[in-house]
Amino acid sequence: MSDLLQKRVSNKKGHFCLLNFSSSTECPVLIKKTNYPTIYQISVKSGVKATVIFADVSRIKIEAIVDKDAEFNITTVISETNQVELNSEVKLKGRGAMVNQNIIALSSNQENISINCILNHLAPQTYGRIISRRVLAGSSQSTLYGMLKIAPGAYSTDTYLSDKVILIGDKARAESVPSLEILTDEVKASHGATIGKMSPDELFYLRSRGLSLSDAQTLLLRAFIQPVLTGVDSNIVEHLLKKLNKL
Amino acid sequence: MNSLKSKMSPSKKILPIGYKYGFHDKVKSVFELPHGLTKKTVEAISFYKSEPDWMKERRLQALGIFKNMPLPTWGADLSRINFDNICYYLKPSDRKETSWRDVPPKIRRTFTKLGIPQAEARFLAGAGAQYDSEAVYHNLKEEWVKQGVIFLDMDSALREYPDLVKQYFGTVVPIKDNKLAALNSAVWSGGSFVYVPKGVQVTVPLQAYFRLNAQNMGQFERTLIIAEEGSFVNYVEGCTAPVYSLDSLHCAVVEIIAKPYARVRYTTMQNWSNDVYNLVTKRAVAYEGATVEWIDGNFGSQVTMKYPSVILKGRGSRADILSLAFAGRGQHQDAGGKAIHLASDTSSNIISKSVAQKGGRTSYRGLLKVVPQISGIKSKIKCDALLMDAESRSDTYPTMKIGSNDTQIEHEATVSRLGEEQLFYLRSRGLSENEAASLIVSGFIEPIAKELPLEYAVELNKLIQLEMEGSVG
Repeated sequence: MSDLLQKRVSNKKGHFCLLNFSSSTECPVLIKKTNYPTIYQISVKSGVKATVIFADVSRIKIEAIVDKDAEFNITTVISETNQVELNSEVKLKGRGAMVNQNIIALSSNQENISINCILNHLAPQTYGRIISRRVLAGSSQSTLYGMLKIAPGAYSTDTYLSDKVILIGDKARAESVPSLEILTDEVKASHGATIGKMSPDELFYLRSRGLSLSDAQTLLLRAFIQPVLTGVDSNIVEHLLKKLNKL
Repeated sequence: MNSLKSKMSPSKKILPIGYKYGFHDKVKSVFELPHGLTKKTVEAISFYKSEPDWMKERRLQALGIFKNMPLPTWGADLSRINFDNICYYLKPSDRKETSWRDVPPKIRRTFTKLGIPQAEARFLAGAGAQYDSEAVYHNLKEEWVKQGVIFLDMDSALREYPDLVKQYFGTVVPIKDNKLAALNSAVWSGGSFVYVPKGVQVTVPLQAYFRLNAQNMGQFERTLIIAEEGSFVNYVEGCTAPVYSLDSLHCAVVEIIAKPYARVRYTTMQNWSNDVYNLVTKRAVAYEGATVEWIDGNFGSQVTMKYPSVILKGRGSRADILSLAFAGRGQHQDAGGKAIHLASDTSSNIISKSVAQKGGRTSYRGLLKVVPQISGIKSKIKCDALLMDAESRSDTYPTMKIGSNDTQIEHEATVSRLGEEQLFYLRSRGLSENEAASLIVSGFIEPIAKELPLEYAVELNKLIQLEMEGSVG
């Protein structure tokens, strides 16, 4: 952790946290349970690989800059807090910069989760992924605004956003606005979104194999969130699975 | 070579720069109202048309709303429209004819290339307000009348069927809907009125240009289509030929009412000249088991903002929206579609295809809404964008608001460029770069082209070839 410069500043405007990655770390930086609004300014220097995991944060803003050939993995796990506002903007500033942003949101009742994430491709040959999986039970509400921007001249960029939502509760509501702004032509840019309930066919199949309804549901939900669990601390995963059982 | 070129197009001097097919006809109307929009203008329009009082009141009410409403802050930049510098009404009979000889050779060539018959081309070019299809029209009309179908221009419909118009006018797009719908409600003129009685299937598409004396392509047209229970109608409007317009603002409203188990298909292909702001509100209501299909193609214009919508109000109703946009230099096509699910077992399908070239910008903007406490909703949205060069831009702004869990919602969007490998392959088979590129674009828009009436599909492909000239290499 010696290469990570971490600084906390608090003033009247709010809390700032500066994270400066100047050499690669295998061990992810875990930020847990911040109840007060915080702005995280993260910079990942050239060639560095860095991973940050936010777990159960309530109101945060992430401003990240990724330099040349750097790789930035950022995962946000939302499962415990009632009011969540996640704002993030990742700027891929140097050629060959790469970002993987994963979002998991599990909400059991009256939660309100609002996610706003921007990937800004400013340099050529950059790579970006936003993968979001949301499971909404009870009467929870959740919105995701995702924006993939490709600046003029950022050629050979590859960017993709996937937002999948399972609505369990009768009164659960989901909103999804995956946007694209593409200002150059030699790119791969796409997004996909699905919103719906658990597949009755899949449930039926699992039950025909002897699983109880709730086991079948848990299994399907577990498969649903699997793609965004890579690199996440096993304690957190354990906790998430427990929560799935209760949904 | 240069001198030869200039000889070939003597009209070049009066061409507005940037519009390939553009030309001016020097129309000076005697009855032209003073520019600008006041209570007097609106009253004068109503007076000219000898309208019933309720319509006049409506217009005045709309004017008030228009004045107080702000312009939309999202979407394309509309700040350059000067509403005081627009002529809001031109008496149709005063529209002066240009002679066919005055139509620039370039335009005539365009018509020829698109394969448009000369009689029709004359009409489109403003040379001859009478498009000579009387015989065809007459026969079709007799058949429609026998079945009880009403197909008139809006002004005549208001005179001949005031009760019917009053019952439905403005029920789908209320005056207060948006600033531009309010403007249209205040100064509307022309457009079509279609009424299809219960159970009647209109097999031949109703084409706007069959109506001879009406202003088909007015500036503030208002179209109302009512399909009674179990009926079917296919309404076709516009054409791929360039519509030359002196007006810099085109602001139309289209309302469709599809009663239970009716099916309405509305096809538009428009190609405006490059200085036109094309701002259109198109909306349909679908009752139980009804189907509404919008097929919407947008070419030309400076700015287009058009989002055909369907309100799925009755159980088991269905919406199909196909949107096509093609933006060239200096153009912004902001198009898309909206589906609002208010009832159970409803489904919607939106396909958008856009092509941006030579620095043009295409945007898909859409809305999918599912209200709470309904079930069995299916919706699929697919947006594909093609970028022809590095200066062009493509945006996607879809919004999905889902309040019910028994839904199956899918959305996907891709942005890609003209594939080098595809180009290379076609060139290796002996096609020129231009031919290859337009073939790829034609393939790209094929899912929409195949839904068009044959003659339109053929014209569309030719138009794409024309638009693509000189776009590669």
